[in-house]
Formats: sequence, structure tokens, C-alpha cells
Amino acid sequence: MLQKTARLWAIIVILTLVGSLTLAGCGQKAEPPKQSQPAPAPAPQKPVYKVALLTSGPINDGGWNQSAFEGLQDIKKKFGLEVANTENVKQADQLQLIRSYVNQGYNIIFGHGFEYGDTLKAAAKEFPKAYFIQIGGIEKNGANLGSTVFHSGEAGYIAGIVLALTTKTNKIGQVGAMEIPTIKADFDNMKKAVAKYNPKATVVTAYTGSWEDIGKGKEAALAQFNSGVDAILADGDAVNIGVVEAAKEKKGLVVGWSRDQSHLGPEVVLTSMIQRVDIMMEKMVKDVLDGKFKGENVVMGFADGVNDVAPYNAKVPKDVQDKVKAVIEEMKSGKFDPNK
Amino acid sequence: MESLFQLIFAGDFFYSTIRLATPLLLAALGGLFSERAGVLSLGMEGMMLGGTLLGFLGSYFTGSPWLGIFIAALGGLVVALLYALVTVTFRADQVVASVGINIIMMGLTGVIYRGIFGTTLSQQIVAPALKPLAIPGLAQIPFLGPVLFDHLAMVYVAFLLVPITYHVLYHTTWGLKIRAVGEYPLAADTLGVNVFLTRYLAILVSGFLASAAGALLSIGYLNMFMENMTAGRGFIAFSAIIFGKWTPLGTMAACLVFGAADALQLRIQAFGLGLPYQLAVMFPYAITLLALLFVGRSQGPAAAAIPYSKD
Repeated sequence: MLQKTARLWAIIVILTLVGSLTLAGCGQKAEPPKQSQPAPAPAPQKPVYKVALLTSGPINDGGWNQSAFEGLQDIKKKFGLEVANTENVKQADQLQLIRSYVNQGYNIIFGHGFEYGDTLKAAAKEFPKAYFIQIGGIEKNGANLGSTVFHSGEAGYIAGIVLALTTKTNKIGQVGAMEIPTIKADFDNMKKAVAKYNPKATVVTAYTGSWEDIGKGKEAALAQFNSGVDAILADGDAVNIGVVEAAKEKKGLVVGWSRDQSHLGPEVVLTSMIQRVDIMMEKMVKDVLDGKFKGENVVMGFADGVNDVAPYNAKVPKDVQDKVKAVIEEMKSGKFDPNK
Repeated sequence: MESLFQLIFAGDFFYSTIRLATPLLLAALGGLFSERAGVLSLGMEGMMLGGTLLGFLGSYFTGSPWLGIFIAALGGLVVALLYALVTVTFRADQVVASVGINIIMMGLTGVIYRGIFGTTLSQQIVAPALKPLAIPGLAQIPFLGPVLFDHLAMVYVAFLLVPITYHVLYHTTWGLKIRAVGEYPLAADTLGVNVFLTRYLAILVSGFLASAAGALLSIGYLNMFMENMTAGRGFIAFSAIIFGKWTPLGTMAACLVFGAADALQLRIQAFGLGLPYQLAVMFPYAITLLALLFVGRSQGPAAAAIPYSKD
């Protein structure tokens, strides 16, 4: 009898666990739509597009992943398309997840980041009728695989000017999550800008090895501040939050990344390099809808309104702001390319 | 090179070492109770994660970070009770149950946080955080004062728990029972020790401390919650127990080694030697592997991870 009750309890416990797990797993994912959705009557030949977004991190990281999620919501509003997303996607699960989306009728699939390159290439071969788009990468094949990327290092260069002209100790830091090509390009160009605008200043770099470990981001920034650095460029999604926290403690300065991060610490965040992922996503989807999708690598930057500089705080002098404005104008007109 | 040396032997390095070691130590000391009683403590990661959220919520809604820590620790008891129920009473495989706890807490904390505050926020939600407590007199000692006696109160608590754990495990009846149950539960049972109760209590201690350690991360060192913010610290705490040969002093030493290695790698990076950063990031783990070679064989309790049955 005792055995039986025990087993019953075991089953109840397990069911509760599984229940909460599924609940947790579903998170913010949109309801899986029914398979056979009847197309609207007047235009039966027009294909129905459904958009899915995969992000490697949580969609509330206040940075890179959140921008994409918001871009997806804009697409839903603007084009009236059905959308869905999965967050915290592990590398090993990418392809499986894409397959299940395609099988549910999703035919525009965004992989949000450099790390989706190989998977999207494989998926594009497997499903020739769906469109695959990488954000922050360079994958292309001319048929159904394209990508869009920021004009490499433009924003990094601008951040470099701001930091080079505001540092007092002539020691500038960079804190990133991982050394992926896009971050490296921005960090390299930041160094170029510092070398040009403040040749006396030196630049040190630290990576946390994680996109979410705020604590480590704070530690990395503290280590830099304690070694004499007084201004840091933070480019590591949620890690940036830790960098700003360290800056508040040590009275340091930070240039934020991806979104306007001034709300994290208005007194320490000089400005932020804004990346309008939503504009990129919108353009790619519009190309598909208009039948103009060419499977290219679409490079966008300040000229397309995709990069921008967030409002400055009071610690950035007017002449620095004007300097930045002038360089951005040169970038827009094509007169200046930091990569050359 | 000379100034790197200076950087490392500056007070800041030692301060940072202690700060990085404390959450690990707090969790690992709790895990030690569970481990010595013969129950795997691999679920600490999940318990810590639960603590980060509960501590944050507690502090946010009551306005007191201390209440936050306390609420987190109490919540840890609930998670621990669930783990004890599954592993001790129903004798489930402890590895599977631990992994289950870790995955559930990962999802659950995210869902609860978003349920309360919404999914995409334009502002980071912050809660009151603990403030460092300089010990009067001691904090004024040159060099040692700022390094050792100007921390959060939780840091002193964690290090005070080392001798307390030692005393409890080796000089009290309860400690003897815990160790007996971990080594040879059948013999302990024959002598009238309640194996189930002893293991339940040991697991509860583990949940209490692991959750408090999690809260230390969210409202001690920071003032906010982020999904998966423990980032594997529960697993590091687990390996600190093994590295420390299942003793309180050894565990403390192991946590300090991890803390020092992490503090060091961040300083090496900040110094800009041009080393590949991957080498720096893996440094704490490489140190562990090396150290394990030198400390020799680490022997855990004989009945570790084996469910006890009276049949």
C-alpha cells in the first residue's frame, strides 16, 4: 500500500515538474499556428509568408537580442505577417529548430548572429522554397540565402573618437563578450580612431567569454578601471549592464552598444552606438515580399540610418560631438571608410 | 612585466579574489553537507539561480536587501525539499534529478521574472543592494584592512561558516550522523540513525546556502536580475567540493583558488599582453586540472549518490 502511494506521489511530482518545464520552455514563443491556413480568397496564388526569428540569448537582454525581437514585432505590425521566435537557442539545436519551423509553414527564417552562418547554409540547401537570412554575418548564395550586416567597424570607429577625446588618463578599455568577427572589427577600428585622435592613449581589451554573466562583466570592468582605465567601450549584450555598474562604482565612463543604454547610468554612459536591427530586418522582409530578394550580403551603416549615435550626456564636450558628426557625414557620403 | 607584477600584488587583486570566491564558498559549504550525507549536490546551479531571482524580488518588494537574502534562502529550502523528496524518498537517480532541478530553475526564473515585469523592458529594473560593511578598527589596518575587512557582511558570514561547518561535521553528533550516513547508511540505520531524516536535513542546508549565494550575486554584487546570471557558478562550487577533498578547509581553499585564478585572468586581459583571450578565460579551469594532478586522488563518501533503501 505504502509502495503504491509512494509511486502515485512520484508520478504527481514528475508530472508537475514536466508541466512547469514545458511552461518554461514555451516562454514567449508564439502559438504554433495551424498547418493548413486557408489563403485569403482574392489572391490565392500569392504565397503566404511567415517569419521566424532565432536568437542565442534571451530577448530581454537590453541589447542585441532585444533589438531583433522588437524588429520582429514591427514586421508583424507593418506587414501583417505571422511571426514567431525562439530564444536561448543552443548551437546544436539550431538546425532542428529551423526544420520544425519550416515544417510549420514558416518560410522567412532569421538567424540572429554570426553563429548561425553554417546552420543557415545547410538549411537553405535542405529547404529551397524558404528564405534564410543571417543578421550580423556574410552568408549568401543567390537563391534563398542572404545576410545583412553592419558596415563593419563604422560604429566602432565613432565610439573610438568619443572615447579618445574624453579620456583623462589616456587609458581606454574595451569589454566584449566573445571575439566574434563583428566585435573584433569594431574593436580594431576603435583602436584606429584612438591612434588618430589621441595618439598618447593606449587601449586594453577584455572578453568575458559569456553574453549573460553580468557579474563577470562588472569584474572585468573593475579590473580595467583599477589599472588606470577611465573610459570603456562595452559590447557584450547583457555584460554591458555589469560594465555600467562598475563605472558607477569607480566613477568611470562608458560608451554603450546596440541600444541607447543611458538609462542604466545616465551619469556614466557618455553615449551609445545604436544598431537599428529593426531597419535591417524590415528591408530584408520587404525584399522577399516584393520579389526582390537577391541572396546577397546587404551591408548597411550610418548612411542607411541603421547605425546611429544615441544622445550624449553632459560629459561629452560640444566640439567632440561636432567632430563625430563631421566624420559620420564623411562616412555617409562615402568619402571616408575606416576599413581603408 | 614589472607592472603586471604590481597589478597582481596590489590589494585590489586580493580583494577581488575574495569577492569572486564568496558566492562559490557559500554554495559549496552547503553542498558539502549534502555530499557528506551521500547525496549528490549537482543541483546547486539551479538552487543558486532560484536564489538570484528570489533575492532580487524580495529586495525589490520589501525594500530591504537583507530580507531579500532571507527570502531567497527560505525559497532554497522549498527547492531542496523537492530534490530531497525525489532523491531520498523516491530514490530517483541523483544525477538526473539534479539536472532536472537545474533546467527547471533556469526556465522558471525567466518565466516568473517576465511574468512580473514584462518581456522587453526599456529600463533595467533595479532593487536595493547590500552595502559593504567596513569593520571598525580592523578596516584601518594598512593593506590588510581594505583587503579583508571592507566587504559585504555576507562575505564575513561565508568565511565564518567554514569553522562552523568544520565543527558541525567533525565535533557534533549530527555531523557524525551525516558522515556515517554518507559512508555506510546500512550500519548507521542499524544503530538507530534515521538515514532519511539526516539526508533531508543535509539537503535542506545545501538549498538554504546555495540560494543565499545566488541572492548574493543578484543583490549583493549587483542590484538586478538577469536570466541565467549564475552562468555555471553552481557547477564550479560543486567541483570546489571535490577539489577540496570533501572537507570544509579544502573547499575554502579550492574556492579561493578559483577566485584568484578568475581575478588574475581578468587582470592579465586588462593589462593587454596580447594573449588570446580564450587562454585567459580558460585559466581558472586549467589551474583546477593542474591542481588536481598535484593534490592527488580525491576520495568521496562511499555511499555518495546511492539512494538508500531499507529493503
